[in-house]
Amino acid sequence: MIGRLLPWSTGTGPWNMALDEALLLSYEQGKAPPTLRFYGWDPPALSLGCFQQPLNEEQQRRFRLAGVDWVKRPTGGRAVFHEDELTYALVAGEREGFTGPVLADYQKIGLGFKRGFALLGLTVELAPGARQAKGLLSQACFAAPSWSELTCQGRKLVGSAQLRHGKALLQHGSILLSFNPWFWREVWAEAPAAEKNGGLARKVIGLREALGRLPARSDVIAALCQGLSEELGIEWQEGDLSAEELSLAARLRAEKYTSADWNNRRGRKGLFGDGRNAVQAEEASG
Amino acid sequence: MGVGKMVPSELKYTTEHEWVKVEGKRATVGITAYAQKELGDVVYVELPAVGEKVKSKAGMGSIESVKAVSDVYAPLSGEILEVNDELQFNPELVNQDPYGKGWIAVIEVANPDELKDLLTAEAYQKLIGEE
Repeated sequence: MIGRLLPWSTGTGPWNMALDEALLLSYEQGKAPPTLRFYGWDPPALSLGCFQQPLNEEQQRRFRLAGVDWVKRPTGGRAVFHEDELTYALVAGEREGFTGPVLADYQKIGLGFKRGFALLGLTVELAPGARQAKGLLSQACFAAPSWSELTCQGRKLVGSAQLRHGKALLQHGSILLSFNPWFWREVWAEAPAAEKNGGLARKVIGLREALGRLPARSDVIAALCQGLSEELGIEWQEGDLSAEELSLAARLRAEKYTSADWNNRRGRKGLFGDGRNAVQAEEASG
Repeated sequence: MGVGKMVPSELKYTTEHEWVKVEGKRATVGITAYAQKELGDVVYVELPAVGEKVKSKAGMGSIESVKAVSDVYAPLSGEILEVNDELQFNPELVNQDPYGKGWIAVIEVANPDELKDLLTAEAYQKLIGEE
């Protein structure tokens, strides 16, 4: 099976999210093969899960002063600050064997990354987040799901989230290169409780620290592509965006990801609602 | 697994894994036990608005589960009469009781012809058996 590997690029938060969604729509409509891209953020940006509460005015003022962008992702989960990292987006679907459940598909991609990191000489673990089955079904009917966060030395190295459209999925996530708490200390007003004790730095790890060196970006990407290729059975060939994808991404950026309707829409009131953003920050890579 | 609690025989279904309980012009909608299991623990349900007009097979909301956001599609066209506000505070009801307290919305059926497109319990059982 052949997939498309897009060239490395950097973009603003709204552009990056618009392009990820455009890739999903293009694949879903049968106009594009499975696609993988790695990218960066310029300027640095905070992304919020699509159902998190938006930033308040004071937070937005501090972000502007610090030159930090912010955007809501099409995916769920919690706040992620994107600065020194490799972000990835993978679009695939049923044709490539992603038939669910969500966590099984998530784990499959995680195993691909695990193989890739091993090629760099790094052992990572797929954290077995326990989840008890609930509801009406017996576990015997389905594979027991488990979370598959990638950790190294017990600290989170990669955090990811999925958006599913019918039989297609977008999974994107952050591979930390280094962790610097300046954003959480200086821009995010309410430093996470754990951060006050220097705790956030103990919960996450960047590739530089994990490896004791930082390989060239192209080497990291090549290794991760190979790992994903072996695990998913997809051979990645370099390719470019189509004119239609570029135009769709431009439209999504203008009409969705830079719009107040999208970025300021209210979301969860309970678990992750107002006043709980510090907790979201604490689990910044997921 | 048999056609029991997993796929109640008195309900209708869609290929997008919604269930529909039709009572006159009212259609109560939720996602199936199979769907909630596929999604994993539900942490948020974005509900449609009461009074909103929805179109069959178009998105009418979203469900966020651990690690994924998925669309909820309207099984029938019509106006949203009621939504399950309880899900805003207890989204896990979708996992715990998908055919009961985990219902999502009630639609006033605008086009009864669309009912023909819904699957019987047996047909839905076959669908998920094959997936």
